[in-house]
Amino acid sequence: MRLYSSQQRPFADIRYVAVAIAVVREGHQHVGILHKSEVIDEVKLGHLAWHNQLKDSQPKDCYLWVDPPIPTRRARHVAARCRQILRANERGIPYAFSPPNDCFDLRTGDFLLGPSRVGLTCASFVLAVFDAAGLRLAEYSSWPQQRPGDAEWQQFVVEQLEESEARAEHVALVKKEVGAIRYRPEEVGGCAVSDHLPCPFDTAEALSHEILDQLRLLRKTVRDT
Amino acid sequence: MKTFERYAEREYVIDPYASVDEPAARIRGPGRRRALSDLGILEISPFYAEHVNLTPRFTHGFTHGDLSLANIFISHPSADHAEGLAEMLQQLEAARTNIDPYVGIGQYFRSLIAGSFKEQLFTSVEEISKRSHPQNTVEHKKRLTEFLQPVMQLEKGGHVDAALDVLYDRMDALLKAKQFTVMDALLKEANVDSISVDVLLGLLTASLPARSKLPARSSFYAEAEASIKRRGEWEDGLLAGLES
Repeated sequence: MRLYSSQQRPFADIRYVAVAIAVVREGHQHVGILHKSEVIDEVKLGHLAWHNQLKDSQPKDCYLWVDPPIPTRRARHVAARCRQILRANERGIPYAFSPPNDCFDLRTGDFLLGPSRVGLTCASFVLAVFDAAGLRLAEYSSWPQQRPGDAEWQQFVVEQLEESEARAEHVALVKKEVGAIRYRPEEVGGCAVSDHLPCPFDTAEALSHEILDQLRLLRKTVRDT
Repeated sequence: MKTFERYAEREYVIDPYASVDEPAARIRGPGRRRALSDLGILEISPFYAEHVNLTPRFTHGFTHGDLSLANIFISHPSADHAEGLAEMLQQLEAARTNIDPYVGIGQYFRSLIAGSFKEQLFTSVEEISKRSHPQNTVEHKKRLTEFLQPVMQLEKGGHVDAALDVLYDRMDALLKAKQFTVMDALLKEANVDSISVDVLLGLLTASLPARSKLPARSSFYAEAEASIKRRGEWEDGLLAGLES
């Protein structure tokens, strides 16, 4: 399994790009993209932290990272694409439950903000970046809709958006997306761990359990130390 | 305002969302924080170090003029060290500017330059595209070469990632302006054998979102694949997902 903690293999070992996942609180995972380039010579974590909070920060040791099954040359381009998306979206990316494919709108010329796209989650942001680089991590059509817990989580997000500075128009659009397919962070990690892309749901879901086990162990280790 | 971040910060010590506040004493290369206290660590990427040659009076005793070390420890803020630091930062800045054409002028100007470049390119390429006479082909190719010239130049200097950053920004500017004709002309006229595999991959990747608007892209893909195979640089999955 190409899943590592920074103790096992430092973040600097990534081949230009990797998927990073951490537990933020019990039952809540977060996922982002580790990327590096010779220009800055450091590994950064690009991730959608929350509504319009697209960050490029230094990764912490609570993250596990996954080396995706792609040629090194392509990994370099995913990293370049990720940097370009971060540069082009300095004002952030809205938080919503839109699908991660075809985020570039040919009519408006914008990334994501087309008539059919409202926003992304941390997990669908990772899928969207790989998708924009021509590499589909997940076999989208195999993902089940409205699994137990999805609607509750989406409703929770809507409530948080309502309490935040998000515009009412945006919240209204997000409400309409409640019930959309949910890609969970650990499943995105599972896709990256799988040997073949795009990864079907059953494989990603099975691998996600192992990732969660490893995350629990890591979390305990980090807390103990 | 409640956010996931705030929940995480409040409830757990481990917070992968929070940005890392670097200590004020830590200097992480040019163009960033430059405060210097009595114990500072100056991190210099070996990538830039080769471009920096400090005068000996500043290097004696800790680097002996060799800045290939990734980390240089500055033990106290003596005047000499402070001056040496200024010189070092100045040279690093120059090195970065040479490597990344945008770095010295910032993101705002990056977009302005992209815009200005875009206007010039659109005007010239569109004018040429309207003409069909064969004598314009050379001029057409020349203009299109100009599009890739800074990319190739950076790549020739061994700065592949910087080259890709410029390439993706330029292609993104074309996409955002919906200049699909210009992008299609670029793919149509490009001499794939003269373009490196990394730049070919960049052109295919950056043009992917607009593939349905780029009739020349499928031929470009096929030519790129054949060219990469001829060069012996082919590997499984290299162009996966980049088809038109």
